[in-house]
Amino acid sequence: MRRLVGVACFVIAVALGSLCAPVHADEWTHLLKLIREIQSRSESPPLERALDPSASLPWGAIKDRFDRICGKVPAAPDLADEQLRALIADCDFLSKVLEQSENPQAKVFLKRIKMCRDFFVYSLELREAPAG
Amino acid sequence: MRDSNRFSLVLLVLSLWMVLPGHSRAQRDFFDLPPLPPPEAFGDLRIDRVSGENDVKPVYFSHWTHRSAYTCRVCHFELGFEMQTNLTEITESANRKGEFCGACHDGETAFGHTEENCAKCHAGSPADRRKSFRQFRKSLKLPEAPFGNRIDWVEALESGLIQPRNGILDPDFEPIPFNEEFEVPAAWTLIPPADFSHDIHLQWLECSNCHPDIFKIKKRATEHFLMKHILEGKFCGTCHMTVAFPLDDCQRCHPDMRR
Amino acid sequence: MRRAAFITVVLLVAFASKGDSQTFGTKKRSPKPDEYGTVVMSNHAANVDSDPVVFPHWLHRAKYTCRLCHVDLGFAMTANETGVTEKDNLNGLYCGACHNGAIAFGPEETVTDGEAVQYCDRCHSKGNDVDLKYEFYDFVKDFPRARFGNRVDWMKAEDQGLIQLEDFIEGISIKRAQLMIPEDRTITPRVEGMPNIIFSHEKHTVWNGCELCHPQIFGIRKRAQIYDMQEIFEGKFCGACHGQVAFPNTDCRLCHTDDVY
Repeated sequence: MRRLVGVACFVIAVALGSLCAPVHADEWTHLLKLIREIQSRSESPPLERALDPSASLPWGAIKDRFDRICGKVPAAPDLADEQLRALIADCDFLSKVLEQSENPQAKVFLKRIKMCRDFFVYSLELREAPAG
Repeated sequence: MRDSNRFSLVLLVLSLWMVLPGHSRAQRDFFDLPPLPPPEAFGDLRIDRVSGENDVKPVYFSHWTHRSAYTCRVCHFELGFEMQTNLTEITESANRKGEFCGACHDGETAFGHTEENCAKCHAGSPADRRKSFRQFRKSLKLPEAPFGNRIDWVEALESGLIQPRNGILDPDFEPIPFNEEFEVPAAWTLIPPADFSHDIHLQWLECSNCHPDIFKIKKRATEHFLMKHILEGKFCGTCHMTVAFPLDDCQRCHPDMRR
Repeated sequence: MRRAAFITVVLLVAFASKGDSQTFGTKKRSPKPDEYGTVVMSNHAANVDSDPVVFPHWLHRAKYTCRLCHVDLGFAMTANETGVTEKDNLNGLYCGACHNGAIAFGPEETVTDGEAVQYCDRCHSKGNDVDLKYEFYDFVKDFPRARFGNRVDWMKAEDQGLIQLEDFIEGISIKRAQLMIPEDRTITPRVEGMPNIIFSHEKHTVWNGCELCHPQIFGIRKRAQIYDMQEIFEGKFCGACHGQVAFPNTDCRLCHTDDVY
């Protein structure tokens, strides 16, 4: 008897639940799409930090990453604090990769990534500095 | 008196004599100012950088004939003349191209750089300009001064008796409106301070004529700013030895000094 | 007693003759228009028995932005600080990024009869009489005039289209996000009576970008870090460029424009 009552309550609860929140199949896919879009819009790709800096990257890949990081410099004053910190971390990572690289151009890119990093740090500190 | 006491007394008198000021003639003797030329020759310079080696007579340049028509900045900034004789790289070809003297001495603004005019500048000896100078001073009724050209050029400019042009390459030039005046304390004790006015100097000169080479831009940062170096032609002596009113005129700068 | 007096006199005389340096109190020779902005680089030249390099800024600034060399190519802001070597140039770094025979003359060129002509002397020219491709006074004869420096108003020349500045080298420069230009700001000078300075970020970022000045020349201004004109004349802050290559600090009116009464 008690088991019957329990099952009946469960069925009523599910029915009520589906009535109040009618999440159909296509709405689930819509929600999932939205979540993926938000993830892809995130400015700092987490992929960089997952790699081991001592792993030798082809020069083209290094250059692509460099372009993506330093290309943000002009927009830095408008980026959020977390985004700037993520960029600084990316600069540190790429610096280590460049130090390992044997490409003759690496020494100039090392200097350039340092300039980008310094500017991101400067942008962050400017917000914390007293107005003047 | 004992020997050592006498010696110390002599030393004391000597140091007092060095420290205390004498009257102006003694000062002048002490400072060893050069003898002043006659008024019409004050400001004349002998330019002989490369003339001698090219078998040409040196140039005798007269400042007073030019300063009534142009302010200092026109030549010493716009045309690039240096503030020291024989430093500017003036050559005949540069003049003919319209640089330096040739900017005005082109036959239109002033007599040109032609064969018959060579001797007007390359005179070999100072020209006697007594007559033209007296005429010039009399006709314009220029105010007097005790030394140098015996003309108070600043007063002449301020009262409009002369209207020197302040720019030829830059005819619309207006001097920067900076009127700072200050006292320059003397290094010797008992010498009254000098009064310096930016305003008066900016009527004739550019900021860059003095700053930052001759005088540092920060107050009291100019090192070795002493009368003895001024008399060597440094600092104020760059101009106030040979062209602007000479250093004999102590009261012009040190107004509280007794004659 | 006598010995003490003698020592005193000696000290007095020694003290009085202090300051015999002849470099103060006189006006230095102003550089000629074609000399202004010329940098002599002599890092390794002496070691490799080569003459120092005479680098004319005027010719390069008529073709490229400041940012291209000083950010993208990694040139330092002070002479001899970059440490350029021949090997670097041959690898396409620094000068070699353009001076490779394609964009500009390279270290050598093979002429029609098969001979290789060396162009070392065109740059390593200190103390030598070198025939350069461009003559300064011909190059700038139609350019708008300025009062100081090269006597050329480079900004106006660009506005009038007389010079077009390259800001991108393929393979080296990066595509940047849109520049966020801060507003103009008024700087009050420390000396009362001098007109205020109106600093325009726009005019500077067009040539320099952001990272050229920040933070290596202008860092975070801590409360007490207020710079003065003497430091600027000595080559710090604004003086890093203005006095070396851009219009010199002696052109007071170009910065001190906002008169105070």
